[in-house]
Amino acid sequence: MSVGYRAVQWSRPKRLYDACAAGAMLAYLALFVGAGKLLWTGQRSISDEVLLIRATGSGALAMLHVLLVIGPLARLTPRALPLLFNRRHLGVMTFALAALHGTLVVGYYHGFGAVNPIRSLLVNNTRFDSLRAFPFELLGFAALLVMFVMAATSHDFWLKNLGAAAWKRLHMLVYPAYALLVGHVALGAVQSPRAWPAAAALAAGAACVTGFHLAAGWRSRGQDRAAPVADGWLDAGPAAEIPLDRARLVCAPGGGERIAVFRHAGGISAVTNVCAHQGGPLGEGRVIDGCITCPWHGWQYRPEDGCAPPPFKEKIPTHQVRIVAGRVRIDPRPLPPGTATPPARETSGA
Amino acid sequence: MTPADDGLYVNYLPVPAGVRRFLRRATPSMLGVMLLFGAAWAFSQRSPGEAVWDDGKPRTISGVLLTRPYPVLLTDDGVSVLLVEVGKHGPRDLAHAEGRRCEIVGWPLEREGRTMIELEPGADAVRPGSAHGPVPAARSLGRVALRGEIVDSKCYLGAMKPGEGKTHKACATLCVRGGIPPMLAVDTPGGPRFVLVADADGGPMPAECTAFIAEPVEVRGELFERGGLYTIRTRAADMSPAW
Repeated sequence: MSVGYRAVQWSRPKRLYDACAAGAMLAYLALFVGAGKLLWTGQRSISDEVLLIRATGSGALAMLHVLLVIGPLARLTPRALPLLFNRRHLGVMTFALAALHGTLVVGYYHGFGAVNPIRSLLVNNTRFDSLRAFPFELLGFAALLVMFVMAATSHDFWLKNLGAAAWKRLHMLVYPAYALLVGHVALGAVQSPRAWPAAAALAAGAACVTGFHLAAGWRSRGQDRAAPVADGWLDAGPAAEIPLDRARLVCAPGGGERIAVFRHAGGISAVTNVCAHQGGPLGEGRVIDGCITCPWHGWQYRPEDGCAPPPFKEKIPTHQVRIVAGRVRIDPRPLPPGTATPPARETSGA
Repeated sequence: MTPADDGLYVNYLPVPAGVRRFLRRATPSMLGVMLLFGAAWAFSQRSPGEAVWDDGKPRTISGVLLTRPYPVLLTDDGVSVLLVEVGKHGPRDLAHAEGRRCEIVGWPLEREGRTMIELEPGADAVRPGSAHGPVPAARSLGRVALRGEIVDSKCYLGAMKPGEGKTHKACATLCVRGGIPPMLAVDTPGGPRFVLVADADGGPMPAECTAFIAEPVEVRGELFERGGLYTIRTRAADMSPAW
């Protein structure tokens, strides 16, 4: 949580995270370039620039796979949440590596000629009618632009000013960017002779990303509680079945945001499942020190009014709750963010 | 604040023991998969072939200069040396030196016996003399159909390694449009390995043929030889993809 903007709010976990990510990136580049140098030497060697282009491009793609897998992995096991909390830094590093790849490609393959390198990139090849001759560079260029927008808006300043929903929609562009990059590699490097290991790695990566997302989606489906409407309110099941300081998720019929129903200190409270920070799933968090704590970045809200504890000012929508014959009933209409609504007491009956 | 003792990680609280154990296994595993991915890709790289670009001290070579379809120096020992400029540019206008004995200064590129000189910048890189040298006539070898890949000769002969294939297509196209001689790296066994591509009248390759650069292609036309250098005279209609 934040009361002001800083370039980076450094903490020990963030430093450790970034050191691991940067170390992994450098290890990958060293392995790739080193292998290329060992494999072919002397007059049969591969140009240094080509090795760097290949290392940075494949490295950025590998890091993007890690980025895309972290989200569903954290849904499958909360123990992976530490990998998620500083994912934005990993995203910016991935963009930086991809940008280095793009810069090397434009400079090396499109530079030193009579045509402006960017113009050469855009108009050199217009064989859009052929998969074999397709200008795959343009797919990579488009993906890089998308990644630039995401990297440039990865700061809390943009999150606050764009709004969490718009910011999240913007950052969902990582999936089209990934699709563009798969096309970029499939229509580019994979079309080189004897490139089957690269093709196999690309296919395995896509299968891995797809598999993790399907598994997480399937698990989320199982976690959703059907909430039949009773008098316009939702039935969230027996109050006693909600674990202490944890939540049960309910869905309103016809869609809409999920509602997280928490049991804490003998009361039942309901808030939106969407954290005001990055849209994290509050219902997968828990109550710590009297506050609902988001599992993604630890942002906190009081169950009774959806307000962050002072000095923080974030607010989330709350829902009215009552208990009828031991069963929790939720008003599906959200109250304005920060509206106090008394927790329903398990001993209070209706 | 109390630590999240039921396994939920909160970044400003102590890390639960179960999470710590998971990270100790998961982080090296993810790094290992990533490095495995990189190693598979890196070790699948092919050799670009034996080629050398000696960009050390410039060399001086003498011979007779010919300009069609592309500037070539026919050296005194009978070797044809292609001439290009620094960067992705064909040679300067050398029409005034056509057929004359010249001294040229530049850096050699060589692959499988085919040599090219990248001329040193400046007017002194080509010094035409007043004498005209003996010029052997181009010898027709008849109509042929050759399969291979049209490459830009400078990159393929050693400026970039590899200087062929799909990922090099944009560079090769830019080079050829800039005047670097297009060359067919021939796959067809039993014939010449490298064949310059010219138009049907013996001039530079037609612009519409650039669409076939860096793709497997079959080129049909009349093959000529002069000074050990082969040229195929063709047109776009006589080129077809050879996937």
